[in-house]
Amino acid sequence: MKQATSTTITLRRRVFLAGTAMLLFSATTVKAATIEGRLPWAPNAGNPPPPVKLGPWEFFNGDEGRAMEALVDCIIPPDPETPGGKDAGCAVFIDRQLAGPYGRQEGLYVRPPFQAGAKNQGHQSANGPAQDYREGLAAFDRACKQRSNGKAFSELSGDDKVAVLKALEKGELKLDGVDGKSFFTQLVKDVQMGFFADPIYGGNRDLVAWKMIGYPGARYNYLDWVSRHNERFPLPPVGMTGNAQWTRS
Amino acid sequence: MARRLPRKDVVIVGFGWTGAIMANELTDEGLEVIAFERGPWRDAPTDFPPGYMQDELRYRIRHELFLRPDQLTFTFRNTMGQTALPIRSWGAFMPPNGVGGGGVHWNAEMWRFLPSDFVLKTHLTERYGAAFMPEDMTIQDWGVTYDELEPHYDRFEYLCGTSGTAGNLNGKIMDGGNPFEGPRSRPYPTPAQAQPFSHTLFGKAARELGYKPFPQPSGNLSQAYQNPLGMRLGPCTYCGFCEWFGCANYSKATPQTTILPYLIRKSNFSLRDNSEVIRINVDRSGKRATGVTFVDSSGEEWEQQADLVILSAYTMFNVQLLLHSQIGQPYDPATNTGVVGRNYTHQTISSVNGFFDNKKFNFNPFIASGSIGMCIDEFNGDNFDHGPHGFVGGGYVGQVQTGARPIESTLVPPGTPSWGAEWKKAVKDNYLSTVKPGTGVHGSFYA
Repeated sequence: MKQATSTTITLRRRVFLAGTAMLLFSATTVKAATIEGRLPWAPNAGNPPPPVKLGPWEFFNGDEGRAMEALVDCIIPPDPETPGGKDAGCAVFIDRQLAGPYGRQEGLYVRPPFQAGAKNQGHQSANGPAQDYREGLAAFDRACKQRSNGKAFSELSGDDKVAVLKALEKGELKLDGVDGKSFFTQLVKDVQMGFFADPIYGGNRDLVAWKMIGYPGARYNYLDWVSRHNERFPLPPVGMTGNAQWTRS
Repeated sequence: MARRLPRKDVVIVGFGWTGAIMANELTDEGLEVIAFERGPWRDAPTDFPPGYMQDELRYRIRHELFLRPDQLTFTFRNTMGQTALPIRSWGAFMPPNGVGGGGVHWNAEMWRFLPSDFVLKTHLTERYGAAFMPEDMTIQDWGVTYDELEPHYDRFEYLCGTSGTAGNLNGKIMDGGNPFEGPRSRPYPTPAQAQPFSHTLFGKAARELGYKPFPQPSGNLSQAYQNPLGMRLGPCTYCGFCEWFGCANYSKATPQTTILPYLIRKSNFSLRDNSEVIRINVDRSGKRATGVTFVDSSGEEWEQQADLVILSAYTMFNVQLLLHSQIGQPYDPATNTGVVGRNYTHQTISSVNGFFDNKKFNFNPFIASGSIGMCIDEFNGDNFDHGPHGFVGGGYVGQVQTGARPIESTLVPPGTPSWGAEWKKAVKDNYLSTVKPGTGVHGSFYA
């Protein structure tokens, strides 16, 4: 018991060090400081999220990117009023997330031992999202080509794409070395997350998802509206960086 | 060898609500107090200002304000027979981190315990007989009664500016409040918050069924308030980003908004952030704490001697620290012996989604506060006869939806595909006319 305790403490010290060095958004105060006499304050000490830059893929390679754009447009198809996943930027969102702290599992506990556990014990693999996508997309591509005479997913007709994804969802389309059903569940979750997150992260471009559902976005004050029951809130959505109409003529 | 800091009267481990309150009280007594917090300093202007705190991805999904598991985590198992494995990313259980602790990003639901909760074992035994409780149930009375604690509840509510409607004022049952609550010596310092549409509908329906609905007591304030320490809070703007988020508006009662600006000016108080206490030191007898050892962000080990060591981190971390320091007898569930870690329980929440006709109902569900809502208390604690049911305990029932942040609140009716055109249409059709998790039952576990 004594030995176990001192080992744990040593481990925790190391863990602590690693942890403070890698705060996801590089938190405001990383160094230990004594606070006394007055509240800490420094000019320009805020920590806003950096907007994603449009441009080439940061995580996906060309084939993966093509597959992802086809996938996100099946998961959220375009309709006459609202763009689909591709034009809304959902693939860009996932690309930037995988290239960033999320893909690298920053802040998570990723040390061994790795041992399969009960479902309630959560994710227990050394693989993070980045590796899951790399392996998942590769296995999906192989399975698609095998099923469709060598055609990649992005080359299939609309109906065929939907059929492939339904088979993947049901576990009927097996992926080599990858749990296809779990991969698809994660993919759907991430695509929808990108669709509904603030546009600063690359999805929900021009606030299309928020317009679609009637969510007014990063507003801060509904004092005038809390007691106006069953009336549609009249203002259009805004993101953290504002609304395109404010800056475009 | 750890370097030593100058001796203090009091060391406080963990600087959330409890740490801040203890520091304020003990410095008032003239004691020299130093507090340690393993996480960073946080405050509205820098960490969650109104320009970018409405960020569901950053704060809710990616857990910006919470402890990072790679800094410290636990192993977990459901039963003694399983191998405990590391919690690698947080699920339902999310420990806070940083100055203010969970008080920064709590809902600010400000319930008091029911009088029977304090004397639960005695109360349940008297009402149902000793044989009613299962043999392995280890509940005890708290050792303090509601009446003894009432002045302190009152003081905390006036510190926070709590918004609510009294249900029992000095023994007199008041219309519109919770008739099951213990007697309170004064009304709430501020009136209840305004209620959005769906919350109001729940109240109306409950009243028509013969229940006694009341607004949930809230630490998100209905109006501007100045507390006894001179701290000023603004009215809540119902922004819908409360729990998991920091309040940019100085409307939520937190250690930062109600205590810290006052406390920090005292010359006998100091606080070290990013400093993790790893051990409580004891004297040779093993019976008396002499201070703590902590590690700062550069890995340097320090010793802080003090006469009084106060553990005010979350229960799990207090227990962990006691175990690491080999203080007390660890609880052993197999033999039902030991006290350190005994009777740890968490909360239970169950909820329902309600899909309404979008031609008749528009809830604007994004308008809410962290402790908004209408509740009934008929099924909480021992407010009803458990005799025929064969269980004890309960929870409040209410429509307490705290917003409709779109990543988590775009729900579709059962039977809708989880992706594709039908899913997209269902999301569009239902977002404004759906009541979502938060609508439900919130109660306690008895150990």
